[in-house]
Order: sequence, then C-alpha cells, then structure tokens
Amino acid sequence: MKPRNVGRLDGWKVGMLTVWTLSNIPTFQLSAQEPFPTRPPAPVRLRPVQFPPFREVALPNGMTLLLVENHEQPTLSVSLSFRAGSAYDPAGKEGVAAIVAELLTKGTPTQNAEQIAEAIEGVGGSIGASAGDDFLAVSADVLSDHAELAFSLLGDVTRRATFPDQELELARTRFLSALEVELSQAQNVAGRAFQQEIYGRNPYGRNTSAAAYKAITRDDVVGFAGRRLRPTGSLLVVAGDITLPRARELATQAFGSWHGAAPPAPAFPAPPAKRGTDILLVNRPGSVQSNIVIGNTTFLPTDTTYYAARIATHVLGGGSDSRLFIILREQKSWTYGSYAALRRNRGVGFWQATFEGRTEVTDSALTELLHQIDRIRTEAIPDSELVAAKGFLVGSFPLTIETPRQIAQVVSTSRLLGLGSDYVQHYRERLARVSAARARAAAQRAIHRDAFTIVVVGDAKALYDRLKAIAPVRLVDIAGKATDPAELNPKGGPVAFDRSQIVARSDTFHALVQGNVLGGQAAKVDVMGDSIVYTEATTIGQFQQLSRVVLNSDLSMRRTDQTGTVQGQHTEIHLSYAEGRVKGTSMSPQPGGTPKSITVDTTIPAGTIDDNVLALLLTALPLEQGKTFNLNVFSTGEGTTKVVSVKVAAFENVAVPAGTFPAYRLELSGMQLPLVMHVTQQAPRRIVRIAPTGAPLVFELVK
Amino acid sequence: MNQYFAGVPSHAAPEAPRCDAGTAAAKAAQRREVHDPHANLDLVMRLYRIPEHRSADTPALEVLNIILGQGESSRLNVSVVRRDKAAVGAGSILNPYGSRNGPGVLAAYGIVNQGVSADRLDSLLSQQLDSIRANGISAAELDKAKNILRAGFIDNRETTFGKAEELHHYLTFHSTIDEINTDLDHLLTVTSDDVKRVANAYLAPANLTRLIVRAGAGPTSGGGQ
Repeated sequence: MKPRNVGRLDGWKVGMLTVWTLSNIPTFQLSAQEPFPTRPPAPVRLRPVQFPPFREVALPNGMTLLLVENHEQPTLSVSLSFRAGSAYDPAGKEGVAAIVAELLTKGTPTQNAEQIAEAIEGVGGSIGASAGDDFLAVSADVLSDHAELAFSLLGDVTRRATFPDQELELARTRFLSALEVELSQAQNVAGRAFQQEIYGRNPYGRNTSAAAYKAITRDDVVGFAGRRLRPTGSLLVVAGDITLPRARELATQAFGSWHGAAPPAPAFPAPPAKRGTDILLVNRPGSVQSNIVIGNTTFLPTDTTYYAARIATHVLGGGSDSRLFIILREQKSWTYGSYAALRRNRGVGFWQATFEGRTEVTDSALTELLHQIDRIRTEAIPDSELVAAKGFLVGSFPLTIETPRQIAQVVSTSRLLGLGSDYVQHYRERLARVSAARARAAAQRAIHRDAFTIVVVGDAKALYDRLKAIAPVRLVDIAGKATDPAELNPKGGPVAFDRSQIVARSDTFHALVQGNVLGGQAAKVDVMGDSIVYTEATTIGQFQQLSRVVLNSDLSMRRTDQTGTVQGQHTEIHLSYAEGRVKGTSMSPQPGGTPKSITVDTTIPAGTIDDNVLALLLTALPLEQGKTFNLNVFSTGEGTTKVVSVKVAAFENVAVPAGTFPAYRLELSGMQLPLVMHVTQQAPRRIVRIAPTGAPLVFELVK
Repeated sequence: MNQYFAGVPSHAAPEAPRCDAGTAAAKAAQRREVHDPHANLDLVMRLYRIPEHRSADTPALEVLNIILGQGESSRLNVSVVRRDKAAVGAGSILNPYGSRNGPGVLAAYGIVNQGVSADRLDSLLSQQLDSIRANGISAAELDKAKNILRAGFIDNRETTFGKAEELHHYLTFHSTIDEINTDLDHLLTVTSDDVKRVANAYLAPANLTRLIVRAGAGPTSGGGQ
C-alpha cells in the first residue's frame, strides 16, 4: 500500500511534492494524430443523490447523539462537539480554547499522555481535539472492534482531563513556535489583519499573540474547560460500523452519569458598521510580493441568500475556471492564484477575495479585482458560467459524503451552525434553483462594494502612493502599529554620537557562508591625539578588502582609503572630507567585470558618515529599544549620499564563538541589502554579529 | 477512453533512468549543511538509503518507520520531543517523494527546539535509531504497527479516488497488481527479527547522509556550533 506518513512536516512534504510535480510534468506532442479536442466533454445530466440516512437521538443528560450507520467497512468514527471555540477565549488570553483542545488528551487521573497515545495507537486508531472559532471537537477513529475503547477514552478525556502543568508548558512552546512561523508568512499577516478589521471587538476579530499565549495559566485552562465543556447542548456524532442500540449503550457508559447545564451563551458585540472603502497597508519592508484581502462581514448562516451568493462567489473566484483565476493568472500572469470565498460562522460570516503577486503589479491587480467584483454585482452571469458553477457545486457534493466520517462531518456542521433539519437533503436542489438574477441580487447583498475592508501586506515604500490613488490608505507596521507615511522616505540628519563608546581595541570575526567558515574580518580602532583611525581588513574567498578611515575626535569624517580585489577586479577609493564636501576618486567592482571609476567632488549634508565606518559608529549611537535613527551615509562606491535607517528592535542573547552577549538587535535598511547587526549592551559597546538579510553570510565575533 | 486516448500513438517504453544512489553506494556517513534565510528554526534530518519499493525488505521497513516516527506514541516523539524537549516536532518518513521503483529514502527528522543545538538533537535522534539496531522492538510495538497498517489499508480504500490511487500504486510499484489483495498479509507476517535486521542493514552509519538546515534569521536559534 502507499506508505502512511502522518508526521508533522506537512508543509515541508507539500513543498517538496510541489517541486517534484512541477519538474515532472511531461510535455506531450500530439502532432502525428488527430488534434486533441479543444473543449472538455459536456457534463452528463446530474443524477439524483439521496443523502445517506442518519438518526438523531436526545440523550437524557442533554447530549444529542447523531448516528450514521454504515457497515461497508469495519471502521468507526466518534466525535463530540461543544460550543467552546476561540470566540469564548477570555480577552487577553487568546489561545485558551486551542490549548484546552491540545491538553484534553494529555492526561487523566488514570492515564498520562503517553498511555493515552499508546492505548489508541496500539489498536491502530487515533484520538485528538481541535478548536475552531465557534466549536471545540474531540474525536476518535478506530477499527470497529475497538468501539468500546473509543467511547471510553473520549469519556475519560472529556470529563476527567487533568491538564498537567508540564503538558501546558510543552503546548505553550509548541504554540509559540507555530505562531512565529505563522507570522513570518505574509498571507497569514494579511488574514489576521483582515479578520481584525472586519470584526473589530467581535471575538471573531481577535488574534492569538505571543503575549496572550504567555499569559495563559493552568487556572485559565481548567476554568475554560469547566465552563464550556458541558453535556447539555453538546453533539455526539457516531459514524460507521455500529448499530443504534450499541452506540446508545456505549454513549451511556461513557457519558450517562455526566450532568451539567448548557454553557452560557454571551452576547457578542456586533461587528463595526463600515461607512466607506479604505485600505489598510501593512508594511513589510523589502517584500517582493504583496498579499491582498478584500471583503466584509455578511450574514448569519441561516440566511437563505447563502445559496445564490455561493454561486456568484464561485463564478467570481471559486476555482481555476473562475474569473479571478482566468483573468489575473492566465491572462495577465500577475499571480499563481486569486480567489473569492463566502465563509459561514455560527454568528455573522464574511466574504473575501484574495490575491498574491509581485509588488509592481499590486495596484493594477487591486484595480482589476475591484472591477471584477463590480461586474459580479451588476451584470447577470451568462448561462455558460452559471451552468458550470452549479455543475461543479452540485456535482461535487456527492464526493463529500462518500465515507461515514464525511457524512457525519456534513451533518454535524449543519447541526452546529443551526442550518435546520432538512438542510443536507435540500442543499443540492437549492443551489440548482439559483437563477442569474438571484445570483446578482445575492452578490449585491453579500458584497459591500462601498464599504470594503482592503488589507494589503507588502513593501509600503513602493505601494503607498499607488494605492492612495485607489482608496484612502492607513499605514501600519507589521505589528499593527499606526505609522506615519513620512517615515517611508526618511530624511537623514546628524546624530549626537556617544564619544565614550569609541575606545582603542581590536576585534576578530569569522565569516560563515552557508554555515562554513570561509574567511574573516579584523577590525581595529586606534585613538591618537586629534584623530581616530578605524581599519577593517576582510577576506572571504576571492573577496579581499582593506579600508582605513580617519575621523576627527568629534567623530566627523576626515579621510577614507580603500584597496581590494573582488573576483579579479581591482578596487580603490581615496576620499577626503572637509567643509561640507567630499572629494577624491572611487573605483568599484561591477557585475560586467570592468570596475567603474568616478571622480567625486560633491556637497554632503552635515553629519554625513562614510559607509566604511558605519560598523564602528553604530556602537556610538544613543541606543534605546524602539528608537529609529536615520543617518546620512556616503556610499563610497556609488558617490552618493543615502539615508540608512537603524531600528533598535529588541534585546537578544547572542551566542558567538567569543561568548554569549546580551545585545541590541539593530535592523538596518536603505542599503543594497538590509542588515541585522547585534551590538553589546555593555559599554564600551562592540559588534558581535552582522548578518545581511537574504544572503547566506554571517560575521560572528571570535575574539 | 477511446475517444480521448486511442489516437495517442504507441511507442516503446522509454529507457528507465539510471540511479547509482542505491544502498551499495553507501561508503561513509556524509554531512551537509544548508542555510535557509526564510526558516525560523533549525532542522536536522538523517537520511538513509533504502531499496526500491518492490524489495522484500519493504514491509519490515514500513513497520520500522511507524514504530520510529509515526504518531504520538512513536519512539522519536516520546523520547526526543516529549522527554528530552529537544525538538518542537520529530518523526520519520518513508520515501517523502512517494514510492520508488529505484532506490528510496528513509528520513528521521527533528525541528530543533529553542535553546538546543542541532548537534545535540542529531545525537538524540541517533540514540533512538541505534537503540532499535541494538535491541530491536517490543511485541506491543509490533502489534501497534500492524494495527495501524491494517487501519490504513481500510482508510485508503474508502473513497472512489482512494481506490483509484491504490490501483495505480500496485500497478506501478509492485510486481503484479494482484498484490493489492495480498500486500496486507505480507505486512502482517513481519516479525520483530525482520525489523531489527532491516534496521541494522539500512540504518548503518555508513549509509547515513546527515542534513542540517540552518535558520537564516534569528541569531539565537541553534546557538553556536
């Protein structure tokens, strides 16, 4: 059989499989034969599908037992759902529901986490729990010989979970790591910002954070489970090879003596009413791609507009034959994919359209997205598209109810969302009855073109002006903090350096390329009378460079001399600074193989520093966490002054060969490559680590 | 089928690609390090050459893979993730690219936890592999693996698409498609001795390629090596 790999490297596997698939698509040549048909075959007439039978039984303790009996395979799936999703997380403790779910199977008074895992996996089964926005579900899958084990384990973990401290800490570490990965991906940053914007104070708008995960205590976890995991109102769905009497007997054994009123149903604040369309631009400096999410909140899941809105949304962006995909990807080549979706919650749902593509086409793509959204709201959908969309949604439904587990999933979703007892039976025909006129009317109701929330995550410096031409823009940083657009094009100025940080010393760094030591750098400071001399000698493979910068005792520039060889090209710079001017010659390496020579004689703003002495002077900045310095830096290779922003991001402990140092993390932008530098907190400060972002090169202090 | 495919002209099967990376190529352990500026945490992966899918050793390797690194109760999860807290996730994968007609790969991996070095994690992974090579597996572990395989056989064949995938698998990677009905019996005859034998044959140090992926950003991850 196909090997079953159920490890946790799903993303990694998917990535590798994608690479494999893309590189192995054969290219067929059909020249010596009949031309391949240009149109797909017409769909056959849809056959009626009877939704498989299921039974619903109210248990005396307020639980509902829902049974999908099917003896085709000797398997059984049991799932118990509570209204205990993340919407019920206490404010400031976002993540409690998810941690409760994680810890339910990690210990009871009679079994620890390993014993529970061994018991269920020993018989080839699995048990687990997860929390969505509205619901928390704990479920077990087993071969039907082990039905009793599945019910008894579910009963034990649901009613008697002990939430051990050490398991909480393990879960916290895992959730924090997962959050770090989540936040490193622009798509997730966009999704989180979008939810927050459209839902505001409504719990669907809240996001997890490192601070919230760290604030969660065991009491929070125990309290949440006690308040929300109650028998009354819970839904026990049993699907597979079992009879109703046996399911009822096992449910009674596991849960019969469990009593408790339904959990409280607090009224949630309504999502904010939005009056106009605007753009929230989340700055991700240097990002080469942008992610766009457009949308708004919609209606309750019971709203009958859903069916026609679903058809309209599918025509717009449901898949690879939908308008957004065909136009933005196939015709314009702007993206790998652009989609639209209509989402239901237990409360108010939402509608969204998404795009991911290059920075330079972001504004064009947004304009096109809005145009296509206008079309779906104002024009009747042509018959061909309407038939195709219905054919897909109606025709693919039977594939979602092939197995007892899938049937149970569909039925329980309809029950949990309160969609009515006949929902599953009439779902297909309600979609099939949608006319073009109803689809357009539903699109007008579901899609609030004049009050959109538009979130764009990308390089704000490149995007701000262009997006402003489409709608008003609010600029925030990656953490959501409002930012002044003027900061996108910072103006440099003189900085009051701390002269006491500059002392005579020698530092040696090694240079790691892809983790291997391939060279190094020696940096030396000599303090003599009225001057300071900074010398830097760097060797990495075929790159060799020696620079010597002389500063006046007030740290203003006096002279720079540099010689070197870069892949066979000779480089040489001689510059002197005086009275607001820099003069001299500069010969720097070029990609073509011939160095570029320039004569320099130009004015420079007061306080401008030479790029060869930047590493030294960073240590003398008045560093303070959260501060940003904009320095005028003379680029000696290019002969121009640039503004380099130095952000003091955080304190971090940095381990390098010379030792472990508490250090300021400085994030530099405005040069060819953004850089991260670490400078010791202890005076006199030293640089301990230099890492260009996006290049496999790191300098680490050796001594 | 005829309407769309009958016109495709027949031709001789193309020559099978050659692959010299079989188990016979194993001479000494290899170490590779790569740097990934987009990774948040370091990754350690121990890769071992294994034979083609139709090898008689495959059933025992499938059992070994489950015991080693599949599920909450697997050795790597229980020891390296839960007890040593050295990894945020650890496990094993048999042929991550899918089954092979040529040489394949068994990968044991761990994503390094904060404050732990990649070498320390690698050594903990190695201890678990060595323990199976030296002491074999327990009867309970063998039973568990067989139950998981049996459940997997049923799961894989529940949907129409699943059945089609299984037929394709047996047609492509087995001696005869009829093994779709006998493969489970082969798996259920695997013994503890078989597992110990394949562990010694394929998890040998000379057959190892050790891959360390260094996270590019974040100066504290992994620490100095």
